[in-house]
Order: sequence, then C-alpha cells, then structure tokens
Amino acid sequence: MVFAALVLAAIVAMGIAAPWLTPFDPAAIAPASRNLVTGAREAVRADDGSVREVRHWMGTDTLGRDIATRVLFGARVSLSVGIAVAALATAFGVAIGLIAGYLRRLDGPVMRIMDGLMAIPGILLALALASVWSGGVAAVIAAVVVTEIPRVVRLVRALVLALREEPYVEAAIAAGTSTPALIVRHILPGTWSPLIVQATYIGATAILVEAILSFLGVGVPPETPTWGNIMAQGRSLFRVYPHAVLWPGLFVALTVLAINILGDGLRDALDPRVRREL
Amino acid sequence: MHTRPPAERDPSRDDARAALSIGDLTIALPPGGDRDLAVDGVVLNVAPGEVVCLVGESGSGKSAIALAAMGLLPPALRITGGSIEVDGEAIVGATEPRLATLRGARMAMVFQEPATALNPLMRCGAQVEEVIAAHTRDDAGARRARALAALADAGIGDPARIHAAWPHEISGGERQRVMIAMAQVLAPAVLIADEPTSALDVTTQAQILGLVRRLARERATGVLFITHDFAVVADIADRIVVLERGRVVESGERDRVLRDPQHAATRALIAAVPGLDPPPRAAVAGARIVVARGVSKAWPARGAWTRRAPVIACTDVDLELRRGEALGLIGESGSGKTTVARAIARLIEPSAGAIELDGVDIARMGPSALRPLRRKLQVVFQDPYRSLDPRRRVGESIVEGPLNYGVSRASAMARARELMTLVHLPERALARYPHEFSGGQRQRLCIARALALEPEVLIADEPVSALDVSVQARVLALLAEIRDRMKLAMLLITHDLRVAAQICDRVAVMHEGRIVESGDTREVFAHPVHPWTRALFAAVPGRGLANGG
Amino acid sequence: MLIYAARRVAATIIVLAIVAVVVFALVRMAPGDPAAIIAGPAATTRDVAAIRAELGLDRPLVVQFATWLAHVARGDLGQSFFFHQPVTALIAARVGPTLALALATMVLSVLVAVPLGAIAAWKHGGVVDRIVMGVAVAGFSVPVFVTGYALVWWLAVDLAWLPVQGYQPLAEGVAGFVSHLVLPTLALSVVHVALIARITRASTLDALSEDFIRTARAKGLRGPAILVRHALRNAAVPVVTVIGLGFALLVGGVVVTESVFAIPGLGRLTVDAVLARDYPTVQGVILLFALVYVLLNLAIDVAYLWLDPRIRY
Repeated sequence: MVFAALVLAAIVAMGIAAPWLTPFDPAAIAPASRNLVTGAREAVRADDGSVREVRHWMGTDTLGRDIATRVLFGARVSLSVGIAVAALATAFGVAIGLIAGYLRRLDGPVMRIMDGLMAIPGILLALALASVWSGGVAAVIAAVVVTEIPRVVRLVRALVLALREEPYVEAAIAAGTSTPALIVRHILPGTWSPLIVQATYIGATAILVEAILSFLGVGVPPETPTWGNIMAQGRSLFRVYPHAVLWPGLFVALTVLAINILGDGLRDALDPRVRREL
Repeated sequence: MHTRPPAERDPSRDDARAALSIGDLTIALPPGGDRDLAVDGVVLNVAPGEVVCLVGESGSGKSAIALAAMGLLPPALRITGGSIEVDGEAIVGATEPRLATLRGARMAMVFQEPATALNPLMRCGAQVEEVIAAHTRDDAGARRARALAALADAGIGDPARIHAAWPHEISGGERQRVMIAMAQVLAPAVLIADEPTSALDVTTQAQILGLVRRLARERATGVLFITHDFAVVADIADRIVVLERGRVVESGERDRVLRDPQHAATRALIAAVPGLDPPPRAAVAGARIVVARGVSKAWPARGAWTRRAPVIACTDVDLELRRGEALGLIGESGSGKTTVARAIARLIEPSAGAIELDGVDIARMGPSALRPLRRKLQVVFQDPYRSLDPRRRVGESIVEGPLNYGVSRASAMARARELMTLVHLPERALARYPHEFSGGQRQRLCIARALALEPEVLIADEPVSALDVSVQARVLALLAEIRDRMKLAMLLITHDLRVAAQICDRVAVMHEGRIVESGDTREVFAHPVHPWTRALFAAVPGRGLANGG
Repeated sequence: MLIYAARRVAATIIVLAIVAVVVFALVRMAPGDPAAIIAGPAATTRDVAAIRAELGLDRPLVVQFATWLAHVARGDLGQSFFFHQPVTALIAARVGPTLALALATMVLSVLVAVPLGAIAAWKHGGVVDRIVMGVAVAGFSVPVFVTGYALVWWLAVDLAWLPVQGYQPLAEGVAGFVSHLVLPTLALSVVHVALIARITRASTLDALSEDFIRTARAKGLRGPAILVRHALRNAAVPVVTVIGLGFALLVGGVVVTESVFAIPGLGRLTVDAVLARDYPTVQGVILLFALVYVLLNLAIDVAYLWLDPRIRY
C-alpha cells in the first residue's frame, strides 16, 4: 500500500518534471539514431561545438526519438486521462444515481438506459465513440467517461436504496428533515467511501483503455507521446527491437497496478464491507 | 409452557460416568480486551439425561465454554488450562480428525439462529443425512429412514415434507426442529444448545423447550443449555450454573437457586425478568391524540406483469391513544404490529383507513404537508446500532429536528444538554460519535433525540429487544419515567408480554394482521378472552418464577 | 416461472432497443453528413447520394431509425463500403477464430481461477492466499497487449516454441490450431483468472463465515467436504455473475489480442473497420456483441434458479 503510493507519486512527479529530467525533445526526429537499443550511448554536438555523451536509457524508436523521453511525457497524458475520467464519471454518475435512487418514476427508464450502455462491451463503445469524435485527448476522455458512468450509477443507486432503509434516515425523516437536506446530510456522506474506491478503479481502467485505444490507433493522435502510441509505433519491429513495446508497457502496468493496490487499500481502510463493484 | 413437577428421580445420580465433564477450564482472550480470561477455572458436569443451564449475560464466557466443548473455539481464543471430557474422552488436546469423528456422533450442538444455521442450498433431509454419512456406513436407503425417524422424533408431524423442503420454505420453529433432528440422529452423549430459543416466538419457544426436555429424558442425553433468560431456565433446568465474567459464581439444583439465590449476579439475572403481573394504575383521562380507524396496508406484488396477490401486512386496525397513556401493541413476528406503527408514524402510507393526529387526518398527506406535523410524533426504533447516523456527532443528530423547525442552534443545544441529564448520560456525550456507546446508551440517545422535538406522541418499536437483559430493565424504567413526567402518549410495540405488563396502561394483541383483543392491561392479563391471546399467555416461559406472576 | 421468463425477455428486448438507439445514434454523433460517413472515405458523390436515398436521410429521425431497425431485424446489417461485402457476410467469415479464442479463454480461466480462489479463501491469510491475491491484482493491472507481447517475446521469439502470430482453422489440423491458439489464450486469460479468482475468494470467504459452516463443522464433516459442498456451492452465484459480466471485458480483450496476434476474427474486424471509418461494420459488430452479452446474462439469470432454490421469480 505504502509502496504503491510511493510508486504512483514517483510516476506523477516524473510526468510533471518531464522537461527537466531529459535532455531530449520528445518529438525530435533523428534519422541517424534510429532503433538504438536500451542504454545506448550517443555523442551529441552542442551549439557551442563541444561534444558530450548522452544516453538513451530505453533506446530510441523507428524515427530516432528517445523512448525514455517519450515515456516521461506520456505519463502526463495517461495520468490526466485517468484523473479526468475518474472525476467526470463519478460526478455524472452520482447525479444520475441520485435521480434514479430518489425519483421513483425515473428509476426504471434511467436504469434501463444504463443496462443498455453496459450491454455494449466497454472497449468497443469507447473505440466507436473515440473514432466518431475523431481523435484528441478530449474525445478519448469523453468516450471512456460514457462507458464508465453506468457503473457509478449502479453503485450510487444501490447505496442510496440501502441507506434509505436505515433507521437513522427514517429517524431524520420523522424529525421533519426535507428531502434535499436528507440527501446532503445523511445520504451523500454515506456514499463517499465506496465512491472514492470506485473512482480509483475507474482511473486505473481509464489509463488502461487510453493505452489500448492509442495502441490500436484510435486514441490520441500519434504525434503526441502516450504510452499506447509509443507501443503502437514499436509494434512493427517488435521481433527485432522489443524494447520499444516493453518499456512503455511496463509503465502502464506499473501505474495501473499501483492505483489498483491503492484502491484495494482504501477499500479495506474505509469500509471493509463494500467489495469491489464489478 | 407449564411448570414441571419437581424432579423426583434424577437419572444422573447413580451414573458413574458424566456425559460432559469440564474441569478447571481456562480460556485466554486475545490481549487488549476488557479482561485476560474469557473463561476462568470453570468446573461443570452434566450427567446423562440431565439438563444443566449455563446462565450469564452476553460476554460472560458461556458461548466460549460451549464452543470449547465442541472443539470449535475460534483460533483467537486459546485453552490455557483444564480439561473437557465428553463421554469419558478428552477434548482438550485431541487432534482435529479425532474431534471431527466425535462431533455429530458423540457430541452435538444446536445454535441460536435457525435461519442461518442451515445451509440454504441443501434440502433439510440431505443436511440431516449428511451427519449419518459422515459417521456411519449406512447406505442411502438406511440414511433416509434414519433421517425421517429423527425428524419425527424432533416433533415434526410430516417428516417426508420437511425432508424434501429447502430451509427457506419452512418456519423458524421447524428449522430449529431440523437442527435438533440433525443433532440427535446419532444419539450423542452430549447435546449443547446455545440460546436455541431466543430467536423464536414465545409459542414456538415453549414447544422447543418441551422437546429438548423430552429428548434428554428419553435418550439419556446430557444437555448443556446456554441462556441469559431466567424465565427459560425456570422451565427447563435440572441444575443451574451462573457465570459472571468467565467465573462460576453460583451453581446448584434449580429450585434451590431460584428460591434462594446466593450471589448478586444471580439475583440480578432473576430480577431482570420483568413480572407478568401488571401493577395497578390509575385510569388515564387525557384527550385523544391519535385515532386510527380501519388502517390496512397491503404491499403490492412486485412487477407490472405479475398477478400475484398483494402481501397483506395489516387489516382494518382501530387504535386510540390518549395523552399520558401507554398503549402496548403485542404480537409475534409477522403479526403486522410494526407495519401499524410505521403507518401511524407515516413512514409508510397506509392502503386504506384514516389516521388522525391531534384531529388532523394524516393518512394520505404528502411529504410537504406532513412535515410541519411530524414534530408531534416521534419514533424510537428497535436496532440502536443503526438508528444514529454513524458519521455525525450525537449532538448533531439530536438537534437536527429542532433546527428543522427553526429553533436556534444555541437553544437546541441547551435543550440537548437537558435531555442528556434526563436520559442519565453525561453532557459531553453530545460531542462523541455513536460507535463510542454501548447498545443501551445508544437507545437512550435515540430516546433523547425523539424527545428533542417535545413530541406529543412517542412510538417505541421493540425498543429493548436488541439489548442485554440487565440493560432492558433500565431502558424500560426510563421510558416509564418519561411517560409519567412529560405526560406524552406512548405506543409501545413489543412481542414480550412482560415488557408490556411493566409500562402499558392498555394493550392490544395482534395476530395475522388484525387486532384480536384489546383492553385494560390488568383486565387482559387476568382474563384473556381470544384463543390466540390465551395461547400466547400459556406459552410465556418462567411462570413459576417468583416474580413471574 | 413463465411470467418471470416473459418479464425477463421483455426487459431484454428493452435493453436491446436501447442498444439499438445508441448504435444508431453513433453515426449521427459524428460531425458531417451521415451519408458520407456511412459511405466511407473512398465513396463517390454518387455512392453518397444513393445511400442518402436508401436511408431516407431527408425524412424525420424517427422514421430513419425505424427504417434502419427494420433492416436490422431482418438480419440486414447494411453494406460495408470498405470491404465491399454485406456486413453479415463479413461477420460470418470472422466469427470462427473469435469463438475459439473466447471459449478457450473462458474454460482455461474458470479451471484455473476457481480452485485458486477457493484454496486462497480456505487458507485465508496464508502464503497461498497472499500469492494468489498478489498475482490477481497484478493480472488485473497489466494490459493484455503487454502480457501478449511479453509472452511472444519469451515463448515465441526467445524460446521459439510457438508461432509468433496468426491463426489456423481447426479444419487444417489440430496441432496447428492449438499451437496458434496457445499464446493468445494465455495472454487473454491472465485478466480473467485474476477477476474470477478474486471473486471466488471473496465469496467463498463470505460463505465460510456463515453460521451453517459452523453447523457443518459441528456435524463432524472434514475440511474438503465443508469447502466444496457448503462453502463453494454457496459462493457460486456471485462467481457465475462475474463470469457473465466478464464477457464485456472478454470482448475488449479479444479486440486487442486479435490485433496483437494478427488473428482474423471479429476483434480485428472491429479495429480495421473503426480505423477505416466503416461504420456499418462497426454498428453490426457492436450489435452482435451486445446481443450475445444480453443473451448470456439472460441464461445466467435462469441458471440462478438452479443454483439457488431461494430465488423464485
């Protein structure tokens, strides 16, 4: 748990500090230094004519771009996608879930729509939506948000329905508490801890899906360095130069793993009864 | 059910070998508890055919003794000394395979909750047969025959039906009979029964108690019967062992202990059984504050396409409640008494009927019209552990109502502090969270919250049934005190006739959704008219108890 | 029971109708002329005009939807303008490899994960439990293409035990079929093993804490009998539920896995269609997968009746 938090913190710091951590430009194409292997050294002539040696810690790609640099910058995209999706999906999900849980007449229609959305396999829907909204980080975020909202709605609705039955909520009703006050004082606070846990899992899923979409060529435009894009570029020469795929893959796995462990830890710490919503 | 004739013959006397023999048993608690030892030097013998009652409050260590005897103690509890012998065979130190051989065959156990003690995904008969299969080489036909015989022995009239039934298809009493059949099928030397009737209705309880006594006599099985309820003890015990904080504080023949208890703990436990004789009370002449006429509630069957009959919870209930009066609504589980209470509190909407609160019919009122009237009627719920918002300080929960009605925060808090004195809790309790309090304290906090709005009607739905016996008495006394002091009308929902006898001026008895009898408490208790009421009174345990009326 | 079946089928139809609306709306959400989008980037003005006339794009949206739905209901998913084939023919040609991969993955995952989860629960807190849970979290986190490439690199490139890519139909020989299927199945199974092992452990653990387990011990039953007959049996409903819900995940995995291993299945078809903006094909595949998902979960609901006698609809 602590270790996972440290790993995640390191990756976040890496993403933020990316420009200062590397001497390379993530987009600089260098035909002379294509497909260098992990840890390759290269002599670079600076503007003043002096020559110094730099190291490609993870090698270079087919266009001679430094993979380590692109992985560092890729962290920015992945993490912002994760955070944005978690925040947006949770916000929309809470609003819709409260409506479904509190307005009897809307419960049926809303839940059927959610069932319909959930019947479409998430990645498929995200693929189609990202393609229709054609490219860009915003399209990817929107596509993943749409696929994740139903899960939050179901969780919130289930929690609301359970909380409504609690004697303390009935006592508050008997004490003359109005419905809006009831929701703010007693219902919403009861949903926080499972929601926070759910949000971390959504963040992890979003990072994964973004990587998959970019890897398949439907996500973020290929010029932007993201972990999925780096892997997509390395695919064709994978047999000869596996490093271009395995390095960014390792980072995706590490980030998602850290977030999942953190989510499990939070779940156990916040409420041992709520199990992961699947 | 009925007072047993005094034990003229005691089958244990001449028997050399005890069915269960516990010597100087000591069980350690994990560090950090309120004491070091769960069980401290307990000596206890059960002879064949004898029923020994192990009595104590929750936490006294009685369940630990039972589980230790079965070799089923959870790993956190460790036996640090002493011996347990079942039918002459040592349990302490026995290997797990050896214990498995003994369990079910030479020693058996019946648990408190028949609803959860049976595997829901296995037919009842198969669960009985499983015991036979585990310990004998009987073939399927023989197993079935023995299981059916055991079910019949356990007082089941139609063994074939129960044999083929799933646990959810049969009643609580039938489930407990299946558990007893399962325990008795291989005629064990010892039967351990851990509060086997406290989850059952009184009428069922009486039958199960009779069954356990009969089986003990007929099969010469030694029964260790664990309970907290001296009314039950009075009906079933040959001998009594009283436990307090892991130590035996008193033991002896039943009649001696009941007549002449030596230890304070024993006296407290006996005193915790409220009397069945309602004390005389002056007639209440207050104005009518709640009038319910023809209240019915039917839950619609789910789904638009189903044509199943709706579930009827209560039918045509008439009630009147006067200022300063306590009315007891008595019934077994499923009789509809809680539905009536929730309808009057307008936590649910009745399907039919009128409910007048202080002259205004609230039966059909919408939420916003209802809100101004709600302060006149407050509710105390059954489960004190779920009745206070766990995420808010107690004080916040108590002042919530007054703040809703525009009382200033300062005066609401001042009132809350007064209420703390009234319910005998310190003022600083207001700043703490619910989980810091015991069940009894929480129930008193809930009463304080209900009173914060200065209601004219207080509905208490089984307010003490989730509490320990000694705590029950104190909460009941508090309710009676409040009724007298504040002159409010009280509707007390209970399954327990003794509780009703203590504080109710009038009672109404419910059965299958209808009120079958009502009237002055003393009158109804002295001369019950309706057959159901008579059956209910006949089933009350511990009628022979000195303070039991 | 019959009433329940009717209700459940009605609910299924409603869900499918909503899926249809979403799929229909998909194309309309894209900026630009739907006819041009449906026709694809390579279409001529004549093609676009023909489609516009066929779909009746000048008519109200509701009418367009009804027309489209009527076509779909007749099994006409439209024409792929990228592959120059009817979409149904495309799907029929690609369904084999996907079915093989999905079935192999499900069978392998259940066979591995259920025992693992049950043992982890039985030895709760022990070494096996910790390892299983650790591996499960990791398996859940590693994207299938990373697992896929790592496996290819190790077993196909480095050790050269298995073919790197491709697919061979069963009709062309069992050995080739199996050897091509091993790596993608392994890669795809990781996440499902993790998922199913987790839920098996959690629900077995729940079942083990129930009172009837204490009853079973008090009867003198031995460990294995208690674990299998009483605990696992009671854990079955959540496990089966997760297997059903996991189908959505499986489809996602299939899409990626088929791309990594160049398997000519429905997943690959989807990606190619998405990249070529061949929307009739995308719509068709989504409809098909959603239909399978809904039917699968309907079947599982019926299975509950058999798994848990308490459930009576």
